[in-house]
Amino acid sequence: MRAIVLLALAACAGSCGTGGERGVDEGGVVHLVGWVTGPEPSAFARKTNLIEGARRLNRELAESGDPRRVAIDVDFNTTSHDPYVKKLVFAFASGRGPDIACGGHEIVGQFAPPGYLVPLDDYLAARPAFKSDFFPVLWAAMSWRGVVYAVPQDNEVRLAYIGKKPLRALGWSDAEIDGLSDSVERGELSLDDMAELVDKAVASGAVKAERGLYHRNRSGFDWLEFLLAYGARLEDPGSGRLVLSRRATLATLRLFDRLVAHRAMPPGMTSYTERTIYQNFVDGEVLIWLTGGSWHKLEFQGAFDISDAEFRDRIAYFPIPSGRRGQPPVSVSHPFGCAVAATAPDRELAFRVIERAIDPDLDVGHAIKSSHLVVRKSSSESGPYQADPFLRDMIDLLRFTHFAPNHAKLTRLQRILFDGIRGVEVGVLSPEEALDFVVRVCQARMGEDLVIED
Amino acid sequence: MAISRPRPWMILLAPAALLIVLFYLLPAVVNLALAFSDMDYTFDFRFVGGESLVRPLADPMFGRVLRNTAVYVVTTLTLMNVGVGVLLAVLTTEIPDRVGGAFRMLWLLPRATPSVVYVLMWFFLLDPTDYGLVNKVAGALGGENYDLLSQRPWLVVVLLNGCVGASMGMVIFTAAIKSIPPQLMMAARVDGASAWQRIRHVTLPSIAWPIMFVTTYQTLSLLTSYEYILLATDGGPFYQTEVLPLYIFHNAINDFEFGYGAALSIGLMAIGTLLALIYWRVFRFGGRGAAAQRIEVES
Amino acid sequence: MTGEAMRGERGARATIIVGLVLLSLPLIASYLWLVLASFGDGHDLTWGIFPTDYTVKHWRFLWDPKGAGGDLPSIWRATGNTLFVALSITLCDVFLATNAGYVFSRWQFRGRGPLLAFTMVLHAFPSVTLLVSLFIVLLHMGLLGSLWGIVLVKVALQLPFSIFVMKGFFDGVPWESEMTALTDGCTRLGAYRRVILPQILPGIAAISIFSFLEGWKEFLFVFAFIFDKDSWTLSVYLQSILSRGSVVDYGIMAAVAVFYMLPVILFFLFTQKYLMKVQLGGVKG
Repeated sequence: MRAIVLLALAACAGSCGTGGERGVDEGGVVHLVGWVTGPEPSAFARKTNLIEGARRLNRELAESGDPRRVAIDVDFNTTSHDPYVKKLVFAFASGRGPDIACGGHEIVGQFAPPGYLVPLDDYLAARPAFKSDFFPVLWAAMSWRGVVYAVPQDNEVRLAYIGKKPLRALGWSDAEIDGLSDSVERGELSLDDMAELVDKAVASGAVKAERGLYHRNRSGFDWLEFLLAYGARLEDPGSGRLVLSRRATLATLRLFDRLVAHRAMPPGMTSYTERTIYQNFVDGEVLIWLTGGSWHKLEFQGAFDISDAEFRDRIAYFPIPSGRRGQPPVSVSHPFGCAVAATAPDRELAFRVIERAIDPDLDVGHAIKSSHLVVRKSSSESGPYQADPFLRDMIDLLRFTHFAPNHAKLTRLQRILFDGIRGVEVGVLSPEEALDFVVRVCQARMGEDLVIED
Repeated sequence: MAISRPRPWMILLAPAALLIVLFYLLPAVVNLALAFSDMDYTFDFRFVGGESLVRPLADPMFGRVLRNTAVYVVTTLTLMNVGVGVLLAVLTTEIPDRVGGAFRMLWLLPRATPSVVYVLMWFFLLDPTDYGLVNKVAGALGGENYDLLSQRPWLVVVLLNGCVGASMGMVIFTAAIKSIPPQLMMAARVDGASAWQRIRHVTLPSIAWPIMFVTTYQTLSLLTSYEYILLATDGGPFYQTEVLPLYIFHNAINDFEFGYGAALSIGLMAIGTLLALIYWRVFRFGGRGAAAQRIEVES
Repeated sequence: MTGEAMRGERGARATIIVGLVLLSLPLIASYLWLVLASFGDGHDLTWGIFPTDYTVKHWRFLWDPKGAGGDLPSIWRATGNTLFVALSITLCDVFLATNAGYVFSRWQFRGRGPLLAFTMVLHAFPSVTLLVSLFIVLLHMGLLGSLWGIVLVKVALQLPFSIFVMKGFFDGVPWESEMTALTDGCTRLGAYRRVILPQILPGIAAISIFSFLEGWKEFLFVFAFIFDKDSWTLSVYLQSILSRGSVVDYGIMAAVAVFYMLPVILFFLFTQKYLMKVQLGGVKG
């Protein structure tokens, strides 16, 4: 018992500290704190790149005779993105926020409005070559009200994965399977066509009932893909308000209603755990994993011990088809970026750490290790990056990609939409009732920030 | 009546009172203030009068949330927290203490298990595909796969919470049973009373008071608990298991609408306080006569 | 008792035990699975519970800080923090609740009734909303980021329950014994220590179990108020492994969870002797 008490007191002595230093110390070293998030361990380079960026900056400062130096402490978050944002909210509010905050681009929409982040346009204007080396659309994703607040860190692409084993059981040849994605890209396959394919798979016994299609079990950006596929817009550029399209929402709700009604998908889809979903898909028991992302390849491989060759043998992929034939497919990207906090002790140096941390070689290294996409044109031409066929395919899909608008209430809208979909799937609401529910709750909870149009 | 020097009882009560005032009352008062604002994640306080208090009435799901809360509290309380609690206490004291103690230890484990792990354990049991234990058993018996989590979310929520909640009742009732004078038990046996008669006339009356206390306390606990429901069903699949504290969590913490959350919680606190006072009256906690041992009467 | 009656009694006991096993089946299955999963290798399970291969690699975090993956602090650090929080809460709570319980039991003062009712009503305040208000309060007190803030908050939240329980125990100690000690020449304090304390030890054991548990389990406050990984408790540590939104490594999760529960089990066994005599008959006024 005494030992326990002593141990506890010793822990106290250690735990009562407040963590890393901040600010400028007597030696002129600027201490910075950075927060990055994985959450998966394969994305650890987000942290090491920042540290390496600081090191390179110090070399640069030394070479140019600048007496300043930086020292950086980076925290790598391992929870999913929502808790991470919550942590940031509390941290910023208490004045203990990081000096460099990295995360999904929505942190711009969340933390720029109250003034927690520093506008970066001036720094970028002084570095035109740097700025133009990035894929231009990414800057839009990092902006709020036209002002850039974050430097892109990496990118991803959302797409659907399809199991080759059930396809082969359906009688597809390897050539047909390989041509699927191209077919979707040419607009030959619509969402309804995809649903029919799933129906056929279930009917023929290639997959068991309710194993035709799986989707994710929580709210998120993926659901916006369907609104886009049915032709909606998400943001009103003039007012900066979010937009909800009745037509597209109803079409989306009808799609999932149909899938459940035809027993292609289980009604309790949203109660499934990730492990169940992925395990069944990777084992070839499910035809389509609908709301996937470019990072899932690595995740499947890591969780279920699959080599690249096995992956290619078992799984194919395609972008989300449009709602109508002849229209291009859609994808939503969720790029990550790094922002500078308003409370940083030296804003310019913080920016320069980020600048160095996204040097092309670091960009490529992180992308390959974590199966993400690079953000710089010069990086995308690198040998190792081009050599990975999967990543090449992903870059190819970028031309269909949209970005979710940067708005503080976007997650709320996503959640309401997701609730509607859930209601339809478990059979509590018809699609029309669900649309009514979504509209009414949006009106009650989104207020002025949302425009509802047909 | 001026208090010229601190009385002993005040000194003894003071530290506890100070802590409660600082870290319980003060936040509650702050909460009250927040209810009149529309504070969000920026922590800017903007007074808006009763606007936040009235908003729940405009929310289409609010009525359902209230109904869910009532059903949840009543069901879990009577079935699990009190019902199973009593059952466990009575049964485990009827068998040799080693075995009884082992069962009690088992039922205390859920309380000691981190909630995320506990819920994952239930997910393992209830997995709707072939990997779930329930489905494996059902399959062995020739049945189909069940998806209890989405088809019977209420059942799952009540069982899940109840297995945790039953342990408090179990502990308290067991202690009360164990303190029944052994002579009473012996006398009942010698008189030839059957086990059931013994339980009815000796054991159960001894836990009448603890049952009332546990009922009161756990009503309030259940009214304000949401963690397990959040992890298991997140109020779903479609608001079937959305209870008021979870609703507050979704609106206050998830959507960062602190002012609105504070307003909702005022409602919750009011309900809880009302119930507590009703229990207080009905169970007569306060008026069972001053015990003879009260020694100092301060005028 | 006749031989027949004894056999009857044994039969009844056996039935009860079988009944209890049936009632506890979900728990038995789940915990069995958990413990086995912490040593299980691979995804194959016979009978849905028993792994086919066994390994100790999931327990790597015990000796290798990187063992649990990612950027986590050493689990011993987190354990130390958790022990600090739980034990501090327990000690403070026991001390304060015992004093307050004694006062409520032994003294009649103005406002005693309402004050007692008020302590019960306090439990109606939901912690979910207190989160934001507490954040504001702790921010202005400068206690954010410190585990001490968590301790003080948890003690305050636990006190109402503990005070009620302790009061019940004090009510159960007859005034005569105290009086006897006083007439024998003891001081107030002496009487307290020699006569009353031994009889309320079970109560102390009871509230210490619940306080320890509350401190050990606390997650929400640590998550919101602590910003530094070195001050993490085991609950946040565990959550960071589990909430990646991706496939959970059940092996590591189970190992950490079992590790997490061990100190609590030890604490239980330690106080079990006293625990099983919680007296709540004394809630009568």
